[in-house]
Amino acid sequence: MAFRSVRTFYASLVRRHVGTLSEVERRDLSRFDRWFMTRGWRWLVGACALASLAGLALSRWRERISPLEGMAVANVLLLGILFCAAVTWFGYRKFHSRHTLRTVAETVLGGIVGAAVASMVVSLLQGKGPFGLLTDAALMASVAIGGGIALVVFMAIAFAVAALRHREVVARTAELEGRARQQALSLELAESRLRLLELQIEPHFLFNTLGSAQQLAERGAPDAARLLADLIVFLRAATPAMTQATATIEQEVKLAETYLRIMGKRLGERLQHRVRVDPALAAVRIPPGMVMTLVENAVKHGIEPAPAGGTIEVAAERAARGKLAIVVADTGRGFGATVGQGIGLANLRERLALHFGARAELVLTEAEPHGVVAKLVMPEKGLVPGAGK
Amino acid sequence: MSVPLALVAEDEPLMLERLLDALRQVWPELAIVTAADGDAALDVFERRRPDVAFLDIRMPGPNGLEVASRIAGACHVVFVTAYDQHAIAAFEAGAVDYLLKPVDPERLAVTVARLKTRLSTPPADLSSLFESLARMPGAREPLRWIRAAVGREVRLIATADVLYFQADTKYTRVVLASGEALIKTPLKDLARELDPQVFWQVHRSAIVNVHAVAGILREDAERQFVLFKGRAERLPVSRQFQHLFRQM
Repeated sequence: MAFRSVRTFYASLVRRHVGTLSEVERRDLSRFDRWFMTRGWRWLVGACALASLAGLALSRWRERISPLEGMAVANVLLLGILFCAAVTWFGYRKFHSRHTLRTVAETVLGGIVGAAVASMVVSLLQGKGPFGLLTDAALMASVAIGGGIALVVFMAIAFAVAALRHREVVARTAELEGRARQQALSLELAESRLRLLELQIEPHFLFNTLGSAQQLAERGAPDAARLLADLIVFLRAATPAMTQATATIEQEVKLAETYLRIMGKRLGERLQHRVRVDPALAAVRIPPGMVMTLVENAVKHGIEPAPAGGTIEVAAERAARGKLAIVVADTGRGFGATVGQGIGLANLRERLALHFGARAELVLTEAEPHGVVAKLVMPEKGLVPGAGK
Repeated sequence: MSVPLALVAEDEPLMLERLLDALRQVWPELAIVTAADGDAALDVFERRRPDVAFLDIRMPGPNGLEVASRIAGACHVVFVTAYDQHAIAAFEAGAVDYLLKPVDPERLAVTVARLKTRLSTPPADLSSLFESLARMPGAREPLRWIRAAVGREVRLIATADVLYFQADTKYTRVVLASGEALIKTPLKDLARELDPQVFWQVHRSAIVNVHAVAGILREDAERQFVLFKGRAERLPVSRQFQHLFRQM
């Protein structure tokens, strides 16, 4: 009964402590726990055996100390050091934060109380009554000195272990976060490529474009060849050779231009387009697919649904405070009463956040008299390899 | 029988040209009127009462399906589509024919033969077909973007960026990390459209984005406030919604 309540109490203490650990530390703790339960305990037994031998040797060397006392002292020392190291390793924050002073105070107090209790127990065992030993000044003095030294030694071990552990945890956490971010980035990139692929092979796009080319060819018009050439360039954009993690603004805008020429041929008078790229920005590298997403939206949601059509302008220009802006503006329908789910835009926003954090944003504004201006703002240098957020 | 009249609605000029060429080849005696968008198609239908309608599905204004739902009982409808798997299944179940773009004259001839035999019978009523198609776009997805006024501009704002919505006298405030916007949608309509996993109503006049919540401040057993990450303001949580944060 009492054992169970002790267990419950211990469990609640452990739970509370574990709640303060980071994910990395918690995983370490459970891994250590598993190791100890299966194999580690044998090492402990072995260490205790060695300590006992050392204790025996000590008693052989000093007659005042009985073999039993020697073994007890050695084991207590060993277990004490191991316990101290383990507690510090798995709970180093107690020694490495603003709670340090409190921890030191608690430990000193614990030491004093422990020593007092131990001496009372020994005193009882020796038949001198609970406080018998306390009156022995010389014994108390040596205990105090011994205890003081032990305390200092333990403190030193604790602080050293805590410092080491802190460094290790920080490094591991940084590495894990870096890896998580890399994974998120590649996932987003894959989604973006998939979207481009879906647009390219989307039946409505593909068959209407091929059908238009076929019609032009049957008419004998020279634009047939031009349209097919543009379609080929556009479809090539998805092949492995072209899919890199970054693209220059010039490449991205050229791809968008190809798409706009194709759509212009199909929609006729309903779609006009203009492109304006600041030459200084042409070679800046940006995440691929973003310009296409904005242009695709402009065509699909802006121009196509508008009976009168409109104009799409794609521009890359310098913006204030060391930023560059990629602007896709259309004079089409505008946001409309029902805005689509805009899945492409959500992917774009997430990728912007992953690459640039708060340094980039997408702003969508309705234009007068009708249309949408989509402005992508990011650092002027674009994606710089190796630079973090 | 008088000369049959066909309405051809197609918004891409080259595809329209292609369909017209093919029709002239396969059905030379057919009279044709064209329309470039859904509204024009309906207009032609009203004025000219065609016997047959070739309708593009994707076009500006009312799309081909919407136009068909209004003219079906009075006119034989043929859909013209690049490839739409849902529609094809529906068409096979219905009385209407379909054509794949780009139109192949031989396939068109089959359609025309079918139409010619049907011209003497009343056109199929496709209302049930359209009801099932109209339901197809899938379950209503939660709102991801809202139109809101920022100063004198109208912006499209991602709901993921919104920290909280707060009802004001005539408008609803949309509060973001980067500023504020206003919308006319009342809070109770918003509550229905937003993702309930992400947006919780905490008060008659406030809906918060849980991802933006830093914690709850309990002043006493009766009064709770929502605290936001990196912001000073606190929103009161009314009694009826306090259960939402019980596990915090």
